[in-house]
Amino acid sequence: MKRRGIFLLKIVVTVVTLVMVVQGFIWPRFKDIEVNDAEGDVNPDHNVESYWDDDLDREVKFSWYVDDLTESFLLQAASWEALDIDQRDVITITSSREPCKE
Amino acid sequence: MQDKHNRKTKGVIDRWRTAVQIACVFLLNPFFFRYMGVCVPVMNCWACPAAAFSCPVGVVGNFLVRGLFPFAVIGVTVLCAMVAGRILCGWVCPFGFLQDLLNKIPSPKFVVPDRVNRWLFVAPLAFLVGAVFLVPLFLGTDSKLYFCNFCPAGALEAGIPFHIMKSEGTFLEITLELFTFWRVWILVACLVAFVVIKRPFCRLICPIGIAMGLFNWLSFLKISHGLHYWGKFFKAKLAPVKACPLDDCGCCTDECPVDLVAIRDVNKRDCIYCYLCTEACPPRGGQDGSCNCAGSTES
Repeated sequence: MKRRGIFLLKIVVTVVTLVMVVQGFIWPRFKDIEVNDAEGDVNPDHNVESYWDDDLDREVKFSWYVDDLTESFLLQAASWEALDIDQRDVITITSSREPCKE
Repeated sequence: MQDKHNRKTKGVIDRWRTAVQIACVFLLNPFFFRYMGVCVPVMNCWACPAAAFSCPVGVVGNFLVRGLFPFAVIGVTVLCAMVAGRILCGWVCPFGFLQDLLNKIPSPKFVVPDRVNRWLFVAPLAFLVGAVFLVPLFLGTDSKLYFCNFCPAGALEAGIPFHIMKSEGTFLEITLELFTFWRVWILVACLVAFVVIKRPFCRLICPIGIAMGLFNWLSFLKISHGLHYWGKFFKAKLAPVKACPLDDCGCCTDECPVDLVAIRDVNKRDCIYCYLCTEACPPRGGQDGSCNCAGSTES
């Protein structure tokens, strides 16, 4: 009885996680990118990237730079994602600042 | 006959595991391929210039800071744990491999007492709940307490390479500059610990490992006490506790990468499914009353 219960629990947890995986890859798909440099401006000395924002119906530019080891992680990852925004299934990009709009 | 079998099989699993670990280092860091939409639940920083896939810790943080639930990454992590427990820790994780390698350096080794070892899971659990979930949720990912901001794996795989790439100066200048970052000191402390203690990061810090470990007891894959596995490399079985030839002789613990009393703790929360204990304590060992562990010269 106990073995059967554990087996059923295994099946239930596996199905739930499968649903979570499918759910996660279908929804949500983010449309906005919020990455800026520290000053909030697009600095030509920094690495400048851009993407097309469907909501704004315009190209949005942002810049990033590596100012220390901590920042390098998220900003670098952000730049990769920004270049391929259709594939942003499980990655999003963080910043508390508004995007720089050209 | 049994001795001959032991000598023949001794180290086979270890060698295979090392080969798989090396292969996985390159599979996870191929340099020419990148798809961050897939998350592999091992400690391999997604900001590494060579990394192909994303790290669950970073993804969870980035989702939570935006108030979103990371369905996919939690689903993938738990699913992997459900299928094969912490086998990814033992056979795939590049940072685990680094710990295994550094621990092979001849030096005085510190074995964590069993009494302490069985409570060490509290530390990574606290990191999982606090630094991975609560901090990004309430303080944001800019907080110094956020796991990625002090992760030694990230410092090694991403922070240092990026710093070297963007720096201009001599090797000495770049090196000295690196040591002005506090997380580099954390990395150095970890590297020293790796030499003298078996897999301290996995046992004390790793939030991914403990997240998967919590599901070890439900995992479909088990290291068997009695059944033969397919393939000649998995024919070695682990003797059940009652069958330990010398009543907890400690041979399996010596082989275990996380200092478990393997005959007691196999398949449990901290077990990383390395299978090394199956070599250390093969079946039918000690039928004549001797310690029949692989490699043992006792008779």
